Amino acid sequence: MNYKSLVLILALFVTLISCDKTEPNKVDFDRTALLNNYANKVILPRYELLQAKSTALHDAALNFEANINQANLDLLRADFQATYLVWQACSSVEFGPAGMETLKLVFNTYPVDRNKILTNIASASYNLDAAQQIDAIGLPALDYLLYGTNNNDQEILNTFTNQSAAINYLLDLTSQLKNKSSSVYAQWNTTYSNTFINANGTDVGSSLSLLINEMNLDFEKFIRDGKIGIPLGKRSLGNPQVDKLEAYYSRESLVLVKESVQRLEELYSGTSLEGVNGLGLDDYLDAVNASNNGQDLSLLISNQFAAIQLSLDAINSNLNDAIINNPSQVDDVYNKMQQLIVYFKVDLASNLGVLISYQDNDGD
Amino acid sequence: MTVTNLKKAIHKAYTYLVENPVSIYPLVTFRIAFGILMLISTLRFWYNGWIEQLYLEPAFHFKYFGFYWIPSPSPLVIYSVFILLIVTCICISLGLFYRASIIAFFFLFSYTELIDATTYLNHYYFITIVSFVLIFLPANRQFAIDANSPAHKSNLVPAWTINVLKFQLAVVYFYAGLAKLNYTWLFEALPLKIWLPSNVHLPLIGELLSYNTTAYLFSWAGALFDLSIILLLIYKRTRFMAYLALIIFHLMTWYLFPIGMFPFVMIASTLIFFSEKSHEKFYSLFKPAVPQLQLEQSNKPSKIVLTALSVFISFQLLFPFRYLLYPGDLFWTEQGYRFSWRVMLMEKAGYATFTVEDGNGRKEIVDNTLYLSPFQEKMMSTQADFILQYANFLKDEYQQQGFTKPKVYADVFVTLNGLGSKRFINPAIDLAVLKDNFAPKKFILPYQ
Repeated sequence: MNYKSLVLILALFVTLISCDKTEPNKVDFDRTALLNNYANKVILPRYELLQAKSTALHDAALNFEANINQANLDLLRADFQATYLVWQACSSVEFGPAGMETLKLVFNTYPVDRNKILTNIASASYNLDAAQQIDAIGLPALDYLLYGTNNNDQEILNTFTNQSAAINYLLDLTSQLKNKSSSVYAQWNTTYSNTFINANGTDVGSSLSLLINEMNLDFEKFIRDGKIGIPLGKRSLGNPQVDKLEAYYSRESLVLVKESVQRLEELYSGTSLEGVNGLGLDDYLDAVNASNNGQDLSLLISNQFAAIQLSLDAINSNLNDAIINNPSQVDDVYNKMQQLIVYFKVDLASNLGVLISYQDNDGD
Repeated sequence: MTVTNLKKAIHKAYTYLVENPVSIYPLVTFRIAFGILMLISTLRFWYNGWIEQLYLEPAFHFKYFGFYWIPSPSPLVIYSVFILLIVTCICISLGLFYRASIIAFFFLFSYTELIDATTYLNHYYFITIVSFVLIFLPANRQFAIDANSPAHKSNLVPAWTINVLKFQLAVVYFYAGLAKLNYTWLFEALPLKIWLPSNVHLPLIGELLSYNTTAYLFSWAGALFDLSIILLLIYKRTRFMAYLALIIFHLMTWYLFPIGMFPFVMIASTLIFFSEKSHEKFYSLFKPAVPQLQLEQSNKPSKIVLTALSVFISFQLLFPFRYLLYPGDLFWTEQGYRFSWRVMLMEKAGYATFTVEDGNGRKEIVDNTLYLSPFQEKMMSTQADFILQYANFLKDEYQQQGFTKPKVYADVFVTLNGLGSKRFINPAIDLAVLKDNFAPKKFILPYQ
């Protein structure tokens, strides 16, 4: 038998096998269109909004400096909370410019070191960009300054009135956030969007791999562990660590968790801030027929997101109190999140052929 | 056929395969290519930052069973090892202090492999074996600095010194082919059906890769290639075409998958199948007078060499089949999976959560990133012996932190070929009291 007939028989045979299936014979998915949607409709608007909110926050801080009173404190706090909410949308996309600027460390490292903040204010000499200041800056430091230094608003106002160093520190914090977010937005807006869209492979360093890895990392380490698990005592023999909550002083943790899960789902599904559902990872999973025990993986994942939100909605106090008074409800949230991580890190990654590793290495 | 005839035939085959004096040049090619490729491979490993990532940064290293005593290196040690590897690779290709160099290479390379078992690759195992075999081969008798002294020069070597390398290559390909003869590979075209479409962005062939038909074609062609390539290389009339196919096959795998140097090692190694004449022709380009072969007295291998050869060959043939001694699905349990030339056979991903319980029943969830690199965590979460090793490590670690009699539980989910995550380890079993051994691991849940 010569080569030609062998190849012919082989080809025929293969065609027969592959036609025998009910599933489509081709994975029809435009990954460049996916990345395009992510860059221009999902991620860039998130940074644009973060820049806008951070700028408004800094303006509110300047306004507060000019007139320290309850009304301006309330305005400042409103802008602080708005920025904290918008930040939740940016936390899961910490690659490219954000990775270079270590945006997540700067914006949201908690718990803060109160003594470090007070020492900084007292000495009035500090470099907020220095690595050792990482737990004395960002939104958590503002959370402390605006809610935590004293027992009531009047005393907080007095602190700012009596200490110009405190108001200066406040302004340095907001100005740092404004600058960092502006820099990241500018980079996305000028060059990085195209870089992101063009890296359309699946290898380490490709945009799809960056997106999925950072999304997983954020959900596992920063949402499940940081916002829920660690305060609940999952790393401390079940002893609650309430003071390790995000937004501990303003007691707004629950709102922020809900927001972060919501934004993560929108990121996963390629949904814009206006709610337009474009090409996302869910569509990609459908295109490759990803399933688990006979059910569409994309359906399982969206159901799991809904289950997490339901378990969060079941908590009817703030998280500071719920962790102490109703730990089983918070534990339920944790377990629901755990299942979603399995879907993400195991099922989704495997089906998309993306290397889930933050490290390059040979396989065989 | 009478018994005498049979005996004669066996004797003839034995003489042909073992004792016959043959040209040294295929062996010389092998030695030089091996040295150069190992040099590139070592430099690449260093350049990619893997010395730091894989050997220095992790706080904990996974070991092979029986090699727990292998110490984790200090920076000074590991950099020295790599510098020595570079030197030995150069010496091997030059044929300078060959015997000492290849012995040193074997031990140094094996050491780097034994530091952390999560770095296991069939390709590294192949290099370990080949460097071990090369210790005993007279590959420095020609085109080598060692061969400058006439006493060390030789044109002829006993046939076994070349055939043992051919045998090793045959084992790699044929066993890789055998491993592909399973339902999932042939009739589901998995995992290629997952892997190929993810390369759709590549120029020229990208579009083709998104078709299921392509995955089936590649699966079948890959299995056929692995099973037949050695025979086609041995048979003179098909050799050239076969080698061409081999180059295309390996370049394709290199292009499509992150498999590093392996394709080039195989492309270079299989040159040994070319005839003595082709090799001699090549060397005569540099040294016009490759002397004509003269029949010297046949070089009979000693009893020790013959025994060692038999043991080596039997081991290579039998060891990959040890999986038959274990219950359950091989691809799920991976008991007897390594060291068996199962290359790029399955898509697997897992996620492992460890809970440590103290004497009072209080529980804590382990942050794996404190002890493991992302790479180690990924490898650990699908392989039961690593899960057990890590659980044992956690027991000691938490004991040092003041836990009394810590129990360690693992909740692990694994998906095989993207078919859906399933629980891999019995989460109710305290792994802290178990020790790794060759017995079947009962804490692995059966594949459903």
